[in-house]
Amino acid sequence: MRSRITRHLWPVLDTIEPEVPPLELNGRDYAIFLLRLAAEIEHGLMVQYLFAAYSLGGPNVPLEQQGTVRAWQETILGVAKEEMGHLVTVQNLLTALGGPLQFNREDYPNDNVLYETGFRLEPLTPPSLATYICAESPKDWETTNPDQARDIKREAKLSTGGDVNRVGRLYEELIRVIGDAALVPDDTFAETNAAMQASWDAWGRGFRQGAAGRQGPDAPDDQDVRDEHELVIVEVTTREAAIGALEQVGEQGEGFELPENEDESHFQRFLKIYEELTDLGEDARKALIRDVAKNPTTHLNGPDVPRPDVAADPDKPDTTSAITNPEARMWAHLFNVRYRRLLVNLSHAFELAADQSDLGGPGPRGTLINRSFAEMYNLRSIAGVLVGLPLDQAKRDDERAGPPFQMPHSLMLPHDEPDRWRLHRDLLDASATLIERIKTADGTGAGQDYVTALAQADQIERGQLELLIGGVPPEPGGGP
Amino acid sequence: MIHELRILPPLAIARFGSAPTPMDNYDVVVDSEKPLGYRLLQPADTFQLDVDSGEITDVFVPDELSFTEDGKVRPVAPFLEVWALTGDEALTGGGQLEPLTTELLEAEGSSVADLRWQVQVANLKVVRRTGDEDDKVVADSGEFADHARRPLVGECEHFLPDKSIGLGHVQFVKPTEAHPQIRLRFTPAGGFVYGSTGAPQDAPAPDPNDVTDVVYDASEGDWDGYRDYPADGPPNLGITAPPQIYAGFDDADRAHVSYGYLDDGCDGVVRVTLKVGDRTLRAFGRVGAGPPTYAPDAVPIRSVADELEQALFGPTVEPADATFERVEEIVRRSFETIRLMNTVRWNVRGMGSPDVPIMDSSLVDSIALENLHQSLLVALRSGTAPWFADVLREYDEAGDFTAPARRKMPAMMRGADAQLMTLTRRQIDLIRTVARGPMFTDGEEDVTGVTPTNLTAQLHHRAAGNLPSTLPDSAVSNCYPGLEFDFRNIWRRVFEGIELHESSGFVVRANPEHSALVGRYLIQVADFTTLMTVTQPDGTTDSAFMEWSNALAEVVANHTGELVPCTFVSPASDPDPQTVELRVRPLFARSDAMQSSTALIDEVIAQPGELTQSLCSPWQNDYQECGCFYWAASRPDYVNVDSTVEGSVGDRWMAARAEPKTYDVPDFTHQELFQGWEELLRFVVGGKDRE
Repeated sequence: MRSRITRHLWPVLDTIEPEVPPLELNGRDYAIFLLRLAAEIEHGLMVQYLFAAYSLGGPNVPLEQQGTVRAWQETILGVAKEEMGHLVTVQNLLTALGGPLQFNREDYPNDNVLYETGFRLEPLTPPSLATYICAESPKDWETTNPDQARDIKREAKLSTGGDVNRVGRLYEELIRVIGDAALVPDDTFAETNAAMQASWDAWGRGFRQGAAGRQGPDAPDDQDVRDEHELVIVEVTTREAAIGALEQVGEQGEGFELPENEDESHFQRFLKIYEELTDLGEDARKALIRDVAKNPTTHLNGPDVPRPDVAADPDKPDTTSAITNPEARMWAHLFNVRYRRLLVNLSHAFELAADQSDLGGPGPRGTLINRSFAEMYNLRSIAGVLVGLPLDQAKRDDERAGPPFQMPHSLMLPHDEPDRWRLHRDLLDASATLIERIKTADGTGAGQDYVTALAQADQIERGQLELLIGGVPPEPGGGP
Repeated sequence: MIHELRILPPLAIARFGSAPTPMDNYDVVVDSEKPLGYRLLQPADTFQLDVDSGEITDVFVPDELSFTEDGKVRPVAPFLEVWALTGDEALTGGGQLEPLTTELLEAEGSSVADLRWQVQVANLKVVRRTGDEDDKVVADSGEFADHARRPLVGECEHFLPDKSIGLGHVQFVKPTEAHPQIRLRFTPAGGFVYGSTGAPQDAPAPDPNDVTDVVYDASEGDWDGYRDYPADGPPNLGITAPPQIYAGFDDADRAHVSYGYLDDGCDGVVRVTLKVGDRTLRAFGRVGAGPPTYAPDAVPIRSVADELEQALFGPTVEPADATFERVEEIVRRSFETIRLMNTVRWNVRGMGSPDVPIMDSSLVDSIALENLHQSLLVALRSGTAPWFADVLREYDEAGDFTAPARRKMPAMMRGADAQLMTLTRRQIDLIRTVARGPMFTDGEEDVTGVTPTNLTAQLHHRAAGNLPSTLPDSAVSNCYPGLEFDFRNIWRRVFEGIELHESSGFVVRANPEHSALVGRYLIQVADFTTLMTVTQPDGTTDSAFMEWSNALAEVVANHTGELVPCTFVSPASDPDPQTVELRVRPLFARSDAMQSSTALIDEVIAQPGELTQSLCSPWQNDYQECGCFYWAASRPDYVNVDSTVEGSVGDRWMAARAEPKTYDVPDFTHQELFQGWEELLRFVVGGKDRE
């Protein structure tokens, strides 16, 4: 982890006598520092969980197991969606405190405050689940269920090379700091901030407790997925609201206490999958999960990538897996561009919310929010293609590629609004190049209908962007 | 050997227009290179029918499509084909369905001369309100065998002497060597409005009565001056839902008073008989006449075909029928509807309010929602499992008006029970079933072809020369009350011995043995309730009847022909529940040869005129007054839309065009529509006025 982060983390890590706030920071700045760290962690967890969910399935899953595997995938995707909600709420908290937004994170694998080897993109396995469980565990887990906690923590430690810290610790520290008026004064909070924050109305997409994840009254009993996840997106204008938001986030996943309802927390949901998965033998498990490479990357010459003539060590989770299959590489690059578009749409939407003249009416902000969701759908689509393509150019029957989730060179938005729309257009240009290569490549032909449709969607958007940039108006009717 | 006959399609829709030349044929296809765009209208094989000889004299593909002719709308006049169930004497293997042709007749030792037709259509809109049987407008062609073009003359006891309403024409097409199949053509009426001799008291202004003709004798009947809510008594509990949808004026008590207008819409039955030796084979089909599809490249989200499929096959989809194409079609139809709606306005008017919009207003600009739906289509093209089942409104959630629930899909639209729109349970199950598949499988099958057992293919059979808008998937079905049909009427006689209201559990009539049930309400059938909770935004609750299609889906699927316990309550303060066993009547006609259901609504279920009786009278009233836009694919709202920095801008479809474009112009008036609809309303293709 970068030293500019770790040197302020002693209060969280409890390694020495904490001094709060750490030297060089005041209370508000310290709270902002912790929130930005929380945002990185939420982002990292979300992507990690998405990758794990996408690794499930495949043509080898026996018929009698398909319902179970599908339920697992929907559960993990539901957790990932909730992490997205946490990420958005943390941005609201940052806004409330007057701090800059944080959508950045390190590429995989990376070390972080949770555990030594940090976040990794890897298929779902009992060890990886053990890691998630520990990260999301409640404070009193060792007290209430010591044997279980011991066994799972041991498995996680073997996997990561060290103890796995609880995300909840970070939120506990945040509640302590923000709850202290001596650290974060009252005048830090302002009612006028609300208009600049994300609302559930705009971002919730109809997911509320009891409404999401259910298969409905007509679903066959054996496929009744009662995954009733809930998006926590909270607007914050007061200290009480801030603490309430942190508590909600903590209760949902990061585990302050063992919840009564076993379906409520991320911890419990991962634990349930872990128990079901470990009940199966290893061969049975393998049939349920695709052989997706760990930490896939489009990067071929980086320092942490072994030379092409040196095989990656599958037991070393801190290595990456270079995607060398030409078709898969193009799709992986496309994935990265669309991921960048998601992050740019998100941050731009938050920036537009700060424009008081753009409140409450239709216009670019709503389009950006909708496009954020569109890019999430695209990421799911492209990931679905990638997990079916070979990783290695030479070994077509070996490991599958996977979504690389590589971070762009920058998430900074240009200062001027037209330039921001130009950035969107730049990304469409990059996407168009990749789409053309995919369409004309000599490969499996996977996803051709999809890229044809995506190209048209991008063309439509391009027309709308030209208008916003101030150029030629799009064709009447909004596009081709 | 011919075992039975069929008329396909089993339900054909004609569309008004007074131009002399029926509309040319076209196909509606998704552009494979631009799958997110509008469907393409591609000119297709069109039959040139010589009305004098009755022969098809030419088949041509028009160079271009023109929906009007000298300012008049070209009617859509469907052909109904006769098909034969053939096979050996034992009908081994179920036999096959093949077109009935002169050659097949000859092989049976018959000829064209052995065929007889009879067509009965009716307009029962007036009698549905007044309850006076003499207000029925009925046309009966009588039995015929020749190939002359025959008018369907709508007669009524309460018409003036020598007055009638033309309800269209039929013609038995004369087979030729080039076109040997047995078929009949139904041409609808012109979409005219007819008036009454009366002048209702208390009218705020003289009735303009600018109608095509005055036919109704107000001195004989009570249609002129009729009120759903009488001035001197309680309302008839059997009034339509919605009520007061006839042309008229509001009196001092705000009760709507009828001007006594009628239209020339209708529905009915086409019968064919064939003598084969000493056997007489019979078949019938159904027809209906409704307004044009003004956006012919769009399809309603929920159509009559969806209702029929759910009634035929139940609310659960077989995995083999759950294809990505069908899910994409549902999403595409949603897209096509919202694309023609001013979603910014309907966010606060379409089942919402200015104080409590349905969605965050930043999200609902038309272009933004278009983009969102396009992104769904894009994702589906990748084979990604449909993840959005979670945000679909379940059938029993139609009454949930709380803020989160109102955002569920479909949003901003009204359902057949006057509450929030839902898809059919079968449509929702299709989406969920497909969502279960893609993780594990590759590819999918789609079974097509008209066979004796493929009822879906029969239902959707597009007879040669027929436009796509003749089929039930072009007819909107989320009926409140509907446009081509009020399809809720098929449920009225689902239980033997009683007749229900089309939109509630109210028992309208009953056989003598069940006469005590008249005036009571059906609230439970076996394990299934007919009621749902209606929850207002403030949390207060009430009950309402669910639409029959979804409420009774499982009853019909699993208990047809069986006795089921039915619980009725009194509308009085003491509910006095009473449970009676009633038999579930088959909705569909039965094939004796195959001992199974056909795709044809049984005659007992609906008599001529009953599928349209509860629609607006005249139909233009619906266009002018309806506050719901689930049917934008049929009646567009927002057209010629452009993007601007501030959002979208476009024209209001049912109004004069303004420059610059604006939605804020008044709609055409009732009278303008009654007499000028053909000239005023424009067809919209690709989202734009078709000049």
